Amino acid sequence: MSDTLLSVKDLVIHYETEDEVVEAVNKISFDIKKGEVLGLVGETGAGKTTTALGILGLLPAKVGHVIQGSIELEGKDLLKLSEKEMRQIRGKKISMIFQDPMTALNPVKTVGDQIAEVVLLHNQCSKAEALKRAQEMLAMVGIVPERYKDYPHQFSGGMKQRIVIAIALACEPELLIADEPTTALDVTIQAQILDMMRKLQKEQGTSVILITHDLGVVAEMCDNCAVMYGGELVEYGTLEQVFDNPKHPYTRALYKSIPSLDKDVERLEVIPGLVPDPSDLPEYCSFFERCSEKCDKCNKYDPVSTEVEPGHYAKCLQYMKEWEG
Amino acid sequence: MLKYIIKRILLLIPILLGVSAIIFLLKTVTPGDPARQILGNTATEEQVQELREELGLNDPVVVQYVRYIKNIVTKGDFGSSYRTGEPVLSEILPRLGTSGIITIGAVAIGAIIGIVLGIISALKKYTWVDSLVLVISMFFQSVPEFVVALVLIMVFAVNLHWLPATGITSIKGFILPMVTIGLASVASYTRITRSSMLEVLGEDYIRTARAKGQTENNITYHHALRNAMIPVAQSIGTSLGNSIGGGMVIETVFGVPGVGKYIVDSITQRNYPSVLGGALIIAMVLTIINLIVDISFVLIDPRLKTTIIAGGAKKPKAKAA
Amino acid sequence: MAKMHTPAMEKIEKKNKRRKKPVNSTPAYEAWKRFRRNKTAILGLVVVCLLILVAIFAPLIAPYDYTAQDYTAMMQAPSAAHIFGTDAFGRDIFSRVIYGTRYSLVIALFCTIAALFSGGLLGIIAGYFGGKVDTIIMRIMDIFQAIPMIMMAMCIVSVLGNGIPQLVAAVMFASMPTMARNNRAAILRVRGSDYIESSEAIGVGQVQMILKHMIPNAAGVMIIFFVGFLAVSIMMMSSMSYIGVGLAAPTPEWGLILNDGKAYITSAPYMMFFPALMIMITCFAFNLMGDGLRDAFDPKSK
Repeated sequence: MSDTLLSVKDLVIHYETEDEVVEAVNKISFDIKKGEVLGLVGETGAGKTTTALGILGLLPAKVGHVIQGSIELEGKDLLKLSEKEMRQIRGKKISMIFQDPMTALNPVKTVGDQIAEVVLLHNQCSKAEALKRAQEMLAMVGIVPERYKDYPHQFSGGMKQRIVIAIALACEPELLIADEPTTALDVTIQAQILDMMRKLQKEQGTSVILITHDLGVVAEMCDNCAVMYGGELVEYGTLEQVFDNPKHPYTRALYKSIPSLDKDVERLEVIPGLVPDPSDLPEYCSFFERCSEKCDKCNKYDPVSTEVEPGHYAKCLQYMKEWEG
Repeated sequence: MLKYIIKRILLLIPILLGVSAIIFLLKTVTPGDPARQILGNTATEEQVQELREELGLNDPVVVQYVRYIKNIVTKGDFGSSYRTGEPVLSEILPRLGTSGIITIGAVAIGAIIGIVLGIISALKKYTWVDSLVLVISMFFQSVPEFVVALVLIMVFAVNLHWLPATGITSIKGFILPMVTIGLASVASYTRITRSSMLEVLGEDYIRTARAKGQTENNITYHHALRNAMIPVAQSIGTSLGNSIGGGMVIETVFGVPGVGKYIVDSITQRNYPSVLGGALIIAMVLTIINLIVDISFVLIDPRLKTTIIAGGAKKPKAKAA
Repeated sequence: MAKMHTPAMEKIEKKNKRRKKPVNSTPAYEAWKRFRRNKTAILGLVVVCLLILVAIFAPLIAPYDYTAQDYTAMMQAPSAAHIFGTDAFGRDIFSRVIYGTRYSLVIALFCTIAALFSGGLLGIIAGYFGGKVDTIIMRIMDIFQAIPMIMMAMCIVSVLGNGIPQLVAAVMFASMPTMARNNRAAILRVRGSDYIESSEAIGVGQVQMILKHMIPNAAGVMIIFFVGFLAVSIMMMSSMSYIGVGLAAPTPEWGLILNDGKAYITSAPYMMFFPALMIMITCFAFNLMGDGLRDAFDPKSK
């Protein structure tokens, strides 16, 4: 697979504090091809953001640790790079859009300076050239370029998110990680931002990891979809596979819990129980307690991810032939 | 902007009236008869009564207060010293300069040391460096200023003979008072810088800067420091005003002829017009300095500017810790 | 149980095994647990306890009467008979310093209680009732704040005269604006929280609300002010008496003992050394303790 851009293998990330160890990400593996949009779906606390921070090497210092695994960008393992080499990747090859645009911009610097900063870091150019590029970027995300001299507080939330996107795309990165880019915004603004992101992604051919808990956003934007639960990847496949033919009980339960226009349901179903405590995960399947399809073996073994149809994986005991009978 | 400044100046009036009322109240409850004090024990009861009438001391308190304010507003008359008979204002004005120089020097020394220590402490948080810095700065906070002054006098004046122990006959005389007052404020600057720095370093925009590939050094000095300095600068502004009148003890210990010493001397000499007039003048100076500091903040912080021009803003007040 | 085992986890497991049964965890207990872990804070607490014992048992510890003048032993350097030396009147400095603990601590305590009951109460009222009450109280505090704290205290003492009650009153008035502001902020923080709003919604009475919900929740912050202000008032008091304003001789307050020794700074520096040391130790201990309390009650602040 020569067109693979990023390949994450067996990644385990723990947060270690004095009192507990939080198993935030547990042995997840996935690949992203060039130009692909991957949706990373899951409830709050499923380990989506941790995965993203792990890829960028921005886990909280001293607390966040990558325990094992590899993150390869074009064949180079990012985990083995020095901090200096990682800095050259961040912003240039991989950039990230954070959840809350309200706080993601430095309040005492003009937005032009903040976009120019990333340009200056990764290109040999003058301040004036960088500012010109900043204005181009503003125009690209639909903001009047002359406003580059304004401060973040002079923009609305949706505009701020556009600026954050402008910063992220200023160096034409190969991979964009968007962490719930629209969660903090109004519904109407959400659609605008998503439209714009899709347009820019097509134009630049950027690969995107779109982190969200909103299945609707995934359906609109993504090529492939990965579902996370309890720090694990429980299902992975193309958008069609995961949406039309969900294999993991958790994914199925998720669909039943969201309202749909095509189906006429009396009541939405709720997934019983709570997300497992990531500082106290069971040794068997994490979803066991809440699963409606569990069998008596489910609380004895931890299933491994199994290919249920070409390119479609699910992490559930029912697909593991050798355990049957 | 202009509207805001005018509004703030108008808000000064009730505060100054209030301060003068408090001080006038203190004046009226002061024991002893001012007329008797001026004339001395040899004067007859008649002479005292005559002077009382002349000074208007027999009028109702409210009338006296109105006259007091009127004298201040129209003639700049804050009363006259019992001892010298000179107007308090003309005695205090030259001393304000001396106190002002010491205050500025002291705040500069304290703020520079405090900010540096605070940054170090924040960058090395939870290490032994951090604990050491905090313990040292807290130690200085625990030593009364006059004790620091005594130690400095012992070392630099008595033993080393480098600097004069008292008086400001040369520039050298300013050094010890400045250092003493400065050291006492190091702790609070360290603390504010540290906590503000830690707070800022945890902000999302710092993560954004990291995601851009920015180096830690640049993040600290370009992104974090400027934001972190806002509360520090505000506290520098507040302490500028406070130390002008707060240096009373140190000015006395070092024999510096500033406003603080003037008031202490007047207290020990029971020279009430000087005490109260001096206090009122200092309160006025302090309030005006605070106003200037507040206004300059509005000019510096772009966020405050918009909210104030937009109109619906509360006045940005530096909160006293 | 977990998906993966790492050395860090094993360490925590071991620690958990060592721990006895889990105790009922109340906020106060949690705060104490955090406080206990803070070595410097414990040091502060121990020193404060020792000082309190010294103050209580001063007559037993002090070898001489603090006013007893011995003209045969004037201005003696520290020796076996007078371990801190004697002053210009032949008084034993050690005994004066020991009794000084009593005076300094008790006066500081009175000052702090007075400050908390005047400024603190005003702040609580302003914060709780808000609106016009808040505006009026805080504008008055603004006026008081226009005069520097120590100058205010000195002006009041100069009018009222020297003496312990006068000093307490002076410190109380001078600290009123700061106290009011801090306590108001503490109450406002609690007031803004959802549980207060929900108690209001279910109709909890005002008095009950202040006593049962707001004060317990703001108590942590107030304890921090209390301890911190003890140090502040000791410093203010000793500074004032050092320059001869506030207390009158022969009260063995530390600042006054320093004032007595002032004239002999070059010939007999020991006269000033020990009382100054006591002031430093006491304030340092209170500050260490206060800092530990701040971390304990408000772990997020560190």
